[in-house]
Amino acid sequence: MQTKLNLLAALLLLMGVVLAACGPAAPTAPTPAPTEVSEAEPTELPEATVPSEEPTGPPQPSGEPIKIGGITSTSGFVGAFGQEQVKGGQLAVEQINDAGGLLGRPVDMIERDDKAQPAEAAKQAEDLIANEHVDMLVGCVSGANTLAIHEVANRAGVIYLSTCQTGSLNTAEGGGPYTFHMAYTPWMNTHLYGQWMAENLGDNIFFLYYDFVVGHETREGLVDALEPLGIEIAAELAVPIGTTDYTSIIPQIRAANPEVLNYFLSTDDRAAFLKQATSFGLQDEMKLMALAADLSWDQIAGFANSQGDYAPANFYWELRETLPSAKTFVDAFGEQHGTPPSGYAAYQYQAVMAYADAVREAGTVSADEVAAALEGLEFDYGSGPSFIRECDHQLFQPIYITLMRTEADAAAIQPWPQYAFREVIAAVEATESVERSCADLGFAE
Amino acid sequence: MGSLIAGQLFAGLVSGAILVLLALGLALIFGHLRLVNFAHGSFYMLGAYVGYETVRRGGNFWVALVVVPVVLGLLGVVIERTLVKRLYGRTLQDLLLLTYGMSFVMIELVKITYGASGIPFDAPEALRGAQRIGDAVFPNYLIFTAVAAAATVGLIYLLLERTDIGLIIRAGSRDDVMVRALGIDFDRTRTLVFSIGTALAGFAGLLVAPRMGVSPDMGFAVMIFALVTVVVGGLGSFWGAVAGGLLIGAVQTLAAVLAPELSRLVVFVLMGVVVFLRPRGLMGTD
Repeated sequence: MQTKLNLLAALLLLMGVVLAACGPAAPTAPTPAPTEVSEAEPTELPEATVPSEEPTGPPQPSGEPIKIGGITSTSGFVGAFGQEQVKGGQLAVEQINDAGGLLGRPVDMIERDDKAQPAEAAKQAEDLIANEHVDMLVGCVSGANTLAIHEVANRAGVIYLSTCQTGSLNTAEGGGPYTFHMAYTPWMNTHLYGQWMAENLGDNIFFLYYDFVVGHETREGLVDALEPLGIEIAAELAVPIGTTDYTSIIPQIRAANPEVLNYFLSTDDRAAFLKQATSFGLQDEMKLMALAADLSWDQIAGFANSQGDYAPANFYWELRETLPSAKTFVDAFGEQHGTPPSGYAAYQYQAVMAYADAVREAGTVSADEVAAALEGLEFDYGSGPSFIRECDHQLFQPIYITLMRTEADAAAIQPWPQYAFREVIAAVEATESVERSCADLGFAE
Repeated sequence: MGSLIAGQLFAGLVSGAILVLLALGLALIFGHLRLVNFAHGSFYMLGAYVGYETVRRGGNFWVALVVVPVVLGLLGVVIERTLVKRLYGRTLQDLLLLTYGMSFVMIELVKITYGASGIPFDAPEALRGAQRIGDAVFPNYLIFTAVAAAATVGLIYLLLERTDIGLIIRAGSRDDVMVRALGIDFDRTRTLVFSIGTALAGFAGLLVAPRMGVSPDMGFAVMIFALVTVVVGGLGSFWGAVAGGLLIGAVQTLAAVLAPELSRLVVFVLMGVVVFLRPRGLMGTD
């Protein structure tokens, strides 16, 4: 008996060390889809621009298809977000083909599941390039996976549009000539929402975040974003990815007595936190502001547990009420799937559309020429006026501050009251000042 | 600081109560079947999903409190009769491999059926809100969790100590040959014990669901802590499981305040110390 016990204890010690060192089985943190806070003043929602007119009777595309390889996590614990990306990318391809294709050729989308594992992402990227001869790669849900795809794509000289949050792709050291980062960086994110949060919700801030690379990058960004206001983070706590029990953490937050709890938690962890925060009545004692909002996340947490929750977002489907470009995107997506698109779908949709515009401008699918056309490209495919900075290939896009609705208020929102979780209450325009300068990122001026 | 410590101790009590339920099941199964059930975390996860399904099909949380242990108990009967039973008398490794494999099968089946993402599961209206004592806040659902776990432990204690079947279970844990010699159908007793263990795990999963949600991987981390609880308390010991669960819950939550960076390691350090000083665990017997 004792031998068995000792064996079991040794096994558990080993597992414990692994657990303590790495956190639970969840492989990587999904990067928040939306958010960007700029140092710019909050503005009214952007004025609607006139949508471009569809060409009448476009010629049918013909010839050898232009191939796009979509790699994202459609299985695993972030599978729902990857599936949204697939839908967004496919809608873009359909619209491109309906409008006559690219350079008169049809566009094919080949989707691959990276199973939320970086090694699988790299393997799928290699296969798509070597065997499917794709002209471009797009997609990602996690920072670790996008780095894996980036490495493969740049080595092969293939355009890659990364659509998840990371701070590693827009630096001189980490980026590459063929990679474009079509989502916020943690730095941008915090600089887009940080000042709005401090000015509108309070300046005594508790920051709860993941004890993980992107969590620490975000903390660094938030500290810098608040510095011009003379504000420091009052208290903070880092938790491992996969934390679902906050009963011992919430009393610590209460004891710090902040005005605002700014939290960076995602998926199931976020839902569990909000549920437990609600049971403690935390929302009655302080304002809660998430690092990001997304329709997919709100569906997990639900109305009842998220009351009073503020969050910035790159996209929320109710932008259709104020942005004609968003209306075009949301209505087409809704017609196809019967649901509104999430921020993940919006990122993927706009990345494919931007690639198409760049190919049209370049008149070729040659990676060097398409990359040159993407540099400095300006567009609005549903998330407001956006551009890609030339030096670091980084997307700059407005951020929308959202507030959770009550279920009763949502009932009046058409056409999808069950998905009308958030109201867009402010927009912050993205200027270059929300990201570090090209020189700071290691690029020559 | 006082309210913070009170809040932490309460949180530790609740976390420990869940560990107690899991560890009791593990201890019963090990004591009687000599089986370390590595699938226990998956039964815990299944309990949460059965609860979710009960509510989805028109039931409610209170109905689920009855349905979940019954369904998980019956599942335990089926699995013991069809799979576990075939490996009695084989090596510990064979049983470990079987239960470890079963655990993955259950997780994958749930992922296929419900998807890999989490599913919301709300507490009933009657258990929302919180009690305030001074600055300390005690959510009603956590109070309910502690009470439900304590009541379950009490029922299991009465079953083991005050009933004939409990006498057989306790006797079988000490000397199954003698129990057989008395003409008792020991195979049935083993099936019953296994099903009690799976029912306890499922019940624990249901209790946790309104707090942490329902997801296929929810049993992974808690399973490790449940096994640590059994080792600290003493393999096969009823009161060892209770003491171990509460101790680990309290140590973990207090460490979260006093030494946050060590909070995940501290229970394993505790286990190492216990095994070093008292290899049979706090209340285990040779």
